[in-house]
Amino acid sequence: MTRLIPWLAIASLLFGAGAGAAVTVTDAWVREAPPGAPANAAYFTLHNADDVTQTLNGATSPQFARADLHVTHLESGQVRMRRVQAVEIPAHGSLTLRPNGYHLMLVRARRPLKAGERVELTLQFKDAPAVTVQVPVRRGEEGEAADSDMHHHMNGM
Amino acid sequence: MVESADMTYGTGVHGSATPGSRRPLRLVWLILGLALLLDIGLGWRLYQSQASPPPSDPPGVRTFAPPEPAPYFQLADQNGQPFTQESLKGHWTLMLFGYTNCPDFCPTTLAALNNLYHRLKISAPKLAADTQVVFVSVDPFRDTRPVLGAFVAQFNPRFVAATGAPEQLRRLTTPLGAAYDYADLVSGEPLNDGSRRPLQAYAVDHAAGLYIFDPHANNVAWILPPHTPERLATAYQFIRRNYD
Repeated sequence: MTRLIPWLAIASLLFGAGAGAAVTVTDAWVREAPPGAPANAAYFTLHNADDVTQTLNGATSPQFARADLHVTHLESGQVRMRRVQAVEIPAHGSLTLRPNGYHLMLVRARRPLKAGERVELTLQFKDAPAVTVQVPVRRGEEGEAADSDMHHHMNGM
Repeated sequence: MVESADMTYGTGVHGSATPGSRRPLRLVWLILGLALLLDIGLGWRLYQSQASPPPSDPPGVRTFAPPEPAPYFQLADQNGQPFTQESLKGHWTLMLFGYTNCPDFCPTTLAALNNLYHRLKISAPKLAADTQVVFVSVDPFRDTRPVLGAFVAQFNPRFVAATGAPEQLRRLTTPLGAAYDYADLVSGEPLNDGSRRPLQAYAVDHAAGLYIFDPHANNVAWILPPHTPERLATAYQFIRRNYD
């Protein structure tokens, strides 16, 4: 418990700094991963209210060892995942990190996270204050359904 | 058998040859004619191969005629049981390739396959009952049996997870056209063909398609991404209608 206190203090400071920031975060979710899984993916939409391009260039979570930006693309019939240093959000525009596109890879959960729990994420920007968000953990199908606004006939089992 | 065939061929050539000075000219015409026929034949085959997909295949599906028999391979599943071409017999198989350090494409596809499975259980229970989903990890260095087992069980406890030695994985992936490569996670620089564990952070570039095997272990079709539940349901039911 005592280990959490400095994290909470930092998080509240960052959250305070992030209020009214140039960049806001919506539709965030983290995909549930099985116990012992090496990584979880986080997805969200970044909105840039500023007149200039903003750059997301880092992220941290107290619940994970590391958080890296990744992109997945298809090439020559293969799925290829690569780490990227940064992603840009156009002025007065938005950028969505979604399945099979960009994602934030959360590496090595300190404790397995179940659907319904929350992940604290702090996103760092090159020229804007950091933003801290509390992100729900969901099972993939629910997350995707919510993410794509698609109507699914499922979960009846 | 071979000898007699050669002899017949030899007799034919000699019989058609005419003596005299015109013989070389006739031979030239014969060769030109044969070359033309061969050319038309090749051209037609090329035209046919380019005319794929056949109009009957729905979007994202390639059916193979004739189907390709599964190669011989020896992997092990999450329970330590052998998983070989024999494990494909007696039921239909949807096979995908991936690795557990893939937090995006692989879970998205496994979730879609679980969705497909539940859809089939409702709309076509017979299809659901004789379909197995197999996740083949092409990253045996990191995907130990417990890691792999927990990974697929999260999506559906009925799903099979298998992996094995690099040379056994190659025996399966190469004939299927499901090549995989290890690449530097940051630069994308190719590292090796999967025969050993790279020293740096690496990504496994793997096939994006789903491979469909019939109960005789023949690879009858291939489903291309994006693997949404809707597309998978349409594609898989189309394939089953075609072969059942």
